[in-house]
Amino acid sequence: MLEVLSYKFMQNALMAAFLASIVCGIIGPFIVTRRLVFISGGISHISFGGLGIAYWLGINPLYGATAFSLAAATWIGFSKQDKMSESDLIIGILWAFGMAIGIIFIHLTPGYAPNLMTFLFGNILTVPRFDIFIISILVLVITLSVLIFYKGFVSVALDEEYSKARKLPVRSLNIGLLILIALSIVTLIQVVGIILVIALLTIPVAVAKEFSIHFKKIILISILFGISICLLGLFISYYIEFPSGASIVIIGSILLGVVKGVKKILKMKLNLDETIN
Amino acid sequence: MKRIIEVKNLYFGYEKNLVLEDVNLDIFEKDFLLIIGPNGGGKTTLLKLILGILKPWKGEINFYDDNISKKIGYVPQFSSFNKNFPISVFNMVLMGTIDSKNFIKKYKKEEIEKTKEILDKLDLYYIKDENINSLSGGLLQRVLIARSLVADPKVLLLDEPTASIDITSQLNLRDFLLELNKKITIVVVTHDPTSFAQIYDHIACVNRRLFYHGRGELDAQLLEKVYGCPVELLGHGIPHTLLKEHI
Ligand SMILES: Nc1ncnc2c1ncn2[C@@H]1O[C@H](COP(=O)(O)OP(=O)(O)O)[C@@H](O)[C@H]1O
Ligand SMILES: [Mg+2]
Repeated sequence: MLEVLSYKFMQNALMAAFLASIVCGIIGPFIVTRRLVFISGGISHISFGGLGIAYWLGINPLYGATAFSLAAATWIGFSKQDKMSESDLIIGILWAFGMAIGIIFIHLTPGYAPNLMTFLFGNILTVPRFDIFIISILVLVITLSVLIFYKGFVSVALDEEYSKARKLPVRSLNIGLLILIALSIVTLIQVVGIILVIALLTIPVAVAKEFSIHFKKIILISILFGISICLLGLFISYYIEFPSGASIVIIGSILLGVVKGVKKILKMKLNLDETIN
Repeated sequence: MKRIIEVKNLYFGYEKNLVLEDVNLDIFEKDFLLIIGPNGGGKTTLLKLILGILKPWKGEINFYDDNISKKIGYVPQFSSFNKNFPISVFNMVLMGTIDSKNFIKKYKKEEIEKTKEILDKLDLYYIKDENINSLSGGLLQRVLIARSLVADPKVLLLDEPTASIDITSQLNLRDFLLELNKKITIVVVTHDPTSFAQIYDHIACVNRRLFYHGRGELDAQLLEKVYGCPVELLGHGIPHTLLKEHI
């Protein structure tokens, strides 16, 4: 069992799982509580366009994905005057447009495109060492930013108007958050792929919300839950050769169902006890 | 009475629709100002302009006291904050201390102490660990007021504070504001001024334009003009105590 850990790809995979969990734990709670799930899905799919172009140019696809997701996030941030949950028509269109661009450019690239599935659905076992390096930097940037601007991000997430009345730089904080979301998505693409990114940003938070109403604890629980499902997914994909991204998402969803189910039963039991007494 | 806020020849609208036209208003130290008017009349918009959330198209808003613009407390309408956000009563109130200077710093000890003190004063300490989304209307309203008070405001703006709370809570709120008014200026915006009819110093009626009066100067004709319908049709919303005695 332990010799598995001496394989380089396995070390990379574990690193990737670890980094991905930090990201989904730190950024996921903001996405879920601010209802930015659709926007995040949009940024993720738009980034596929950049990924395809980079692939066609023969450079690291991660660069293309980063460029496109950052551009999308900044554009959404600047175009939004009021609340961030509007403008979904344009995001919906760009969502599909980004995917289309990506597919065309991968099609144009001569030769067989073995990585297409990896980009779309992720493969934690094939993350290159160099990408781990880039991802580490991104995770560092994300973590530090949230630590520094934590009060501001939380204040705006809770009450945008009130934050404006308190003269906080609401617009900058919103754009900053979108940029951090874009960076998070880039780090997660390697692990679960473009299509499943949104699951990793939401499922751990949904679980964590069942256990606490304190935002910091929700972040912590999300990270721990994220690590658990990423590791489980990793070993499933190593031992029975299931696709890693899909395994992670399915394990996460099942566990979420279990947590919700158990809570419901406990609550019913509690109510029953009360009526009996 | 000393004038602390002046709204002068103010015009504002959203996109191309004019919402406030040539509005003039003075707010005094320790004033109890009631701002009434029909739904959609522009009351909330006026508050947001005073708070600096919105910028006027034309005209000006002047503050005649050191830092008064930073000492305005705000109790927004119920629906305005993100109900999807999990947060305890304590943390919600503590967040009232956040401003443009300290939002990248840790909470200070004084701020935490102040939060405890306010929670205690408003009888909220026993629910400090509850999720704000599980509270009744009256309690939630008190939490929103507590949040605005931790920053020691000199002026308190309340937007529809009696909407969606029961009668007992309304009366408690009235008494609480009256007590608070001994030290600070209170501005209450409401389309239903019943609870405050007895206690205001000045009253402003807003329906695109603003009509400003002292106590006992209102008459039915003016209200008709503002609300756009005969006063009788307004029902209990406009109590007779608001009007001159002949009615
Ligand atoms: N964010 C907004 N965008 C566009 N129109 C708005 C916005 N907020 C309010 N309005 C419009 O401005 C007018 C005044 O609204 P408001 O100030 O909320 O009135 P009140 O608080 O007196 O009910 C209404 O016609 C309303 O539809
Ligand atoms: Mg209003």
